[in-house]
Formats: sequence, C-alpha cells, structure tokens
Amino acid sequence: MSLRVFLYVTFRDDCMFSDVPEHQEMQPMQPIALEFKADSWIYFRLWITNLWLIVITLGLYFPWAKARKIKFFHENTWLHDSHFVSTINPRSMFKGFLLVNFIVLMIGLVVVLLPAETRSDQFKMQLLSVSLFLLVFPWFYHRGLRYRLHNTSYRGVRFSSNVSLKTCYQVFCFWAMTSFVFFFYPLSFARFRELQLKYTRFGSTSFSLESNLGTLYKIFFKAFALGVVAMLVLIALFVSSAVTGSLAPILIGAGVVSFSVLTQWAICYWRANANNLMLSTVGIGPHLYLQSKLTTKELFKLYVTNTILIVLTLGLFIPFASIRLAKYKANSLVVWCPSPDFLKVLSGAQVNQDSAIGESLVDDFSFDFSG
Amino acid sequence: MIFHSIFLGNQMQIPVLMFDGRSTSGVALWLDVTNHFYCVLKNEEGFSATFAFSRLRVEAAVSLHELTVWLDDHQFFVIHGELAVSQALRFFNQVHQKTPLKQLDKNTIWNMKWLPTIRWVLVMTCVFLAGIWGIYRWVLPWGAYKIAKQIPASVALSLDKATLDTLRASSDLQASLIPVERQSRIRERVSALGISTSPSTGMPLTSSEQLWFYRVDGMGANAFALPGGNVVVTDELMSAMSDDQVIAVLAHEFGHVELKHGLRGIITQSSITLFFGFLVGDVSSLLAVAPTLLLAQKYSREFEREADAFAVRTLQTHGQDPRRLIEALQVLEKSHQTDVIARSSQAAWIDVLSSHPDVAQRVSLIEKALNTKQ
Repeated sequence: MSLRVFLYVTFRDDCMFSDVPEHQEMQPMQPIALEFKADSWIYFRLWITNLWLIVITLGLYFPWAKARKIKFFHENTWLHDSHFVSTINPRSMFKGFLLVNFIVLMIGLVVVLLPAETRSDQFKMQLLSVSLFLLVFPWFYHRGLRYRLHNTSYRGVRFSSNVSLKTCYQVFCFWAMTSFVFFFYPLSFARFRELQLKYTRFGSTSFSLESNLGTLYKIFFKAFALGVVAMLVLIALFVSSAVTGSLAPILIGAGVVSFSVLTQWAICYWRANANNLMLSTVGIGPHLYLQSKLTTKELFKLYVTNTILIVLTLGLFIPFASIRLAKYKANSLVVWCPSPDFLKVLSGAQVNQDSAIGESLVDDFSFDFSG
Repeated sequence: MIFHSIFLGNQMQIPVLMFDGRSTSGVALWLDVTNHFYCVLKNEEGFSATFAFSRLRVEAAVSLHELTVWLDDHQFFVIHGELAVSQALRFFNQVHQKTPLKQLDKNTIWNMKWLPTIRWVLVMTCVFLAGIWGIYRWVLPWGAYKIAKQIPASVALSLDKATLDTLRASSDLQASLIPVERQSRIRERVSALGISTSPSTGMPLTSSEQLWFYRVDGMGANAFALPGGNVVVTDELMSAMSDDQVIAVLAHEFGHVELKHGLRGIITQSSITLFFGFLVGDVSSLLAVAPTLLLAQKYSREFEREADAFAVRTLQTHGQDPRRLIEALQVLEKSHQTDVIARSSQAAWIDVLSSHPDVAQRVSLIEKALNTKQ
C-alpha cells in the first residue's frame, strides 16, 4: 500500500487542510530532532518567583508553581515547526495535592498514634506504614500519569495513556520491590519504562515498545563492572595510604576523587545507554519511531558541571542547570518520519465517542510526582 | 494616536492557526477584529465560521508571545507573534467589556510583564542567599542543640559503646603502657573535677569509668570525646604532658560532652548533607559530599572554641591555672608538627579546611578571656 493510499484511507476525514502534496511517493525516513528553545534567564525569573510564592504560602502555591513550570517546559519543546502544549489545570492539581498530603499525613498519624513499645512493635508499625503507602501510591501514580499525558498535546492532538490500574500495582508492588535484589534492577527498570511508554497513545495512534532485556543486562553489567573497578581503586589507594605514611592525605584524597568520578561515570553510562535502548525501540504507529542519542560523555559533563555550579551558587544555578539538561535531552531525542509534513496529518482520538466518564475522572483531580 | 488607528485600520484581520483536536493538520484562518458581536473566522476563499464570544476561553502562554483561544474542549485557534497577540488582546478586552468571555487571561504573564523585573529578581535572590546564610549560621545550630538536648543519655551511651567496640575489635586500640599509678592519679583528679555537675542535666559531667587510656596506632598525641561522655586519651599525649596539662585537655573534652558537641555535629552534618542532596537532586549525590564536609568544619571549629572557653571556666572554678591549657595546646602543636600534615603552611586557607582552629588563634582567644576575667 503506498503512502498516499494509506494516508487517504486513514485520514480521509482529516486531510481536508493537510499540507501533504497530492502525488507524494514513499520517501526514505528523515530524522527530526526535538528542540528545547527556552531562555534560561526567563526561566530563572519564573523559578525564583515560584520558589518565593511557595515559601510565602507555606507550600500551598506548589500546584500553581508546578503547573507554570510544566507549561513553560512544554511550550518551549519544539518538534519541527510546532511546540508541545500543556493544558494542566492548577486547580485540579491542587485538589490532588491536598488529597495526597492528607492521605500521607493519615498514614503517618496511624503509625505515630498506635502504641508501639517494643522494638518488634516498632518494626511492625514501620512495615504497616510502608504497606499502606504501597497500597495507595500506584493509584496516585496511575492518576498522575494519565492526567499528565491527557493534558499534553501537539498541534491540537492530545496524548493519552490506557495503562490499567492493575499494571501500575504490578509494577510498583512487585517489580519495584524486586529491584531491592540487586540483579533484578534492570528488569524492574524496563517494566517501569514500559509502564510509562508502552500504553501511551498520541491521538488515535498507539505507541509500541519492545524491551530488549539481553542488551539491557549487558549495559547493566558493564556499569556494574565499572563500579567494581571504582571500589578496587578506592581500596588500593586506602591500603597504600596506610603503608606510606607521609603521602596518606594525598592518596586518600585521590582515592575519594577517583571513586566519585568513576561511579558517576558508571551511573551516566547506565542512564545514557539504558534510556537510549528503551526509547529507541519506541514506535508511534507504523510510520514513526523514536531514537535516543544520549552519550555518556556529554551526560557526565553536564552532571558534573551542573553539580559544581549548583553547590557553588547555593542552589541559584538550579534553573540554569534544568534548562541545560532539558536542552541536551531534547536534542538527543530524534523522531524518524517519512517527511516533516507527515507530522501534520496524524489523527486525533475520536473526540466525541471517548468515554465521557473516564475523561471527567481524569479531569477531576490529579497527582503529580515527576521532577 | 493617529498612527495607532491607521495601523489598526490596516489590520482588520489577524492571522490564526486553527486546530480541531481530531488531527494535527492546522488550518490557516483570519480572525475578524471589526466584529464585536460574533467571533468570525474566515479562510482565504472568504468562507467564514462564527462563534459566540461567551463560549471562548482565551489563554496565554507562559513565556511565548502566543494566545490560545478555545472554542470548546478540543477546538482552538492560536495567535502567534508579538504584534498579532497585542492586537488580539486589545480586541478581546474590548469585547469582554460588553459580552464577557468564558475566560480571559487579562493579567497574563504577559509575556514577561508578569515576570518580576530585574530589581525584584535581585531582591529575591539576595533574600534567598541571606536566608540560606541565616539558616546555616543560626537556625541549624539552634535546632541541632534543641534536638541534641531531647536525645536521651542512653542513646548517646549506646552510640559510644558501638564506636568503642568497633575500635577495639579492629585492634586500633591497644592496652595502655602508662603506669597504672599515673592512670589512677588522673582518674582521681577527674572525679574531683566531675563534682561540678552539669548545669543543664544535673548529672556529673563524666565519670572516671568513662575515661579510657589507650595506645592508638597512627593517631599521635590526642584525646577525643564521644557523644555519650566517654573520653579516650592516647599514650603519646600522656607521655608528652604533665598531669596538670592532661587535666586541662580533659576539661576541654568535658566541654565537648557538656555542650553535646558530638550529637550536634552528627545532626548538623546530616542536615547539610540532606540539603545538598536535595539541591543537587537527581544530578549526583556523590559530588555533594565535598561541600558538606567543608561547611561542617566551620561548626567543628566553633565547637573547639566553645570547649576551650568551657575548659577555662572549669579550671578556674576548681582553682587551677587555665594557662595549663595554653601549654597543652602548644605541646600538641609541636608534636603534630613532626607529623603527617605539613603544619608549616599556616596560611589562612588551612583554617577553612581544618577541623580545629589555628592554635595561635585559640591561644590568643583564651588569653583574651583570661584578661577580661581579671
């Protein structure tokens, strides 16, 4: 089936104003990188104002600050000639914010008020609070994820997520728990990314994702090996510092520095490659797919310079650091598509036939945990 | 004014891009800004669609010159560009006075107008930095003292026990070679000092059972106090000093115990770590450790000065010469000069990095205290 016929069949109703030329032939795929075009100075002003309003209102302003921040980041992320848009409503976020705080406070109160004299009683109380939190957290996350995606749009078409509550419970109550067993971590990471991406839809187009666990484990073991090397270097330098008296401070200093650098490099290696692997298998419908091109070196450079500058400025560099990171992350995410114009003929969800109840529920209140 | 109206006269229509939520294809249309009764959109061929103003929600972008006008939950048109946005806003404001729109972001961030001016940004930044400094300088030490006072003695004692047990197990602590007679002499004098009860708890400052003499490899002449009141004295210190000087050093260590420096140190250090961890957030927690150590050293140096002052007071009330403490400090400094750290470079930056203040500075502070007393 040629692209033209495909377009005609799929988008019959929507092609009235499309910019796709009439006699377009199937073209080779083209990469279009996302672009983050924010001005750091404007973001700094926004950030410090948000911070102050949160402090002055004793935290109550948080949902409004969060909404403004998310809107800022969305509207400065461009794909081809259009930017993303966030339609989140701070008022519904505020409802969710109050409810989450109330529930967490209640869990805390239960644990504090119930009598616990002996050690084992205290342990039971801690177990109770953790399990109570595990009981509600997947629900929070489910609502938050759906709300966030539902209120993200590109050229008027909304994203959405049809992830089930059951999947959320599976991921947080089972897979997240397995990550405490060290070697299960990549598996639980993959499940979490699947939860975020696999069930996502853009309009009527579904995302698809295939986790390649073999490669993910290879990346994990390489990062782990680097961590072991870092540990060995640290031990070697500490032992040698004990032997040679006069050079001890220098050797211990070198040990600590090389340990932090190597472990940070291992963390960056894992983050860059694991995210590249997961994101690069994402397809959006049959004709679009994503490619992530993060590199360990760049990520490491960004993390180290950001950290140093944040610490030196006592936190004032945070907004600039977020912008730098967002710029890099956006630039390394590429959308492959037949042509840029293809982005203008994707169809939205069937607006009027969607379950109205579901939507009103999504709109009622939201929870937000992400960055 | 004339230019203004002429200009508007030329722009009877504002270009908009309309989306219906059913596909990503946008339609370029024109918004007619002469009609104040209906919202009229026209396309190139002159075909027009009308909407009631009362249905419209006009939203502004946070940082872009962009207006989004929602016709319902899915359909909207976008007005982009500084000029077009300002014209559209003027138009909608005029309409709003006659037929109220469903929503009109009047005081929109307007682009940058809502954002604070440089003056305000400077004020907020300065207050922010001052706030952090105030927390570091006053709030944190005060809070740590309050919390440390709440921690029961049994908890601090169990901390001591754990520390001493690990030190003994790792065979860092070896049996003292100091004659037992001298040890018991020191113990007796300590008990005599310990008669003075702690003003805050009413308990004896420390008991002679909590005084330990050990040979510690690689530590040199030293004495240190643990949070619960256990004090360890090394053989090298004992052999380098007279009894009077040892007592002066111990009075300093009791100062650490009485003023709860051990617990306060733990509390402040962990809160600074938490703060930097929070600041750096996702970025990297490992690198945040360095500034923590650096900042915590300042408290540590303050603790030394406080303990010195305490020692001077204690020695004076028990009729002993506080100058023994000055001598003890000088002895310690001498013994450490031959040691690992090159003490010759007594530059100012050493004071920043070191956990103990410069000895000369401490001595001059003690002498100042003595002079004001007399």
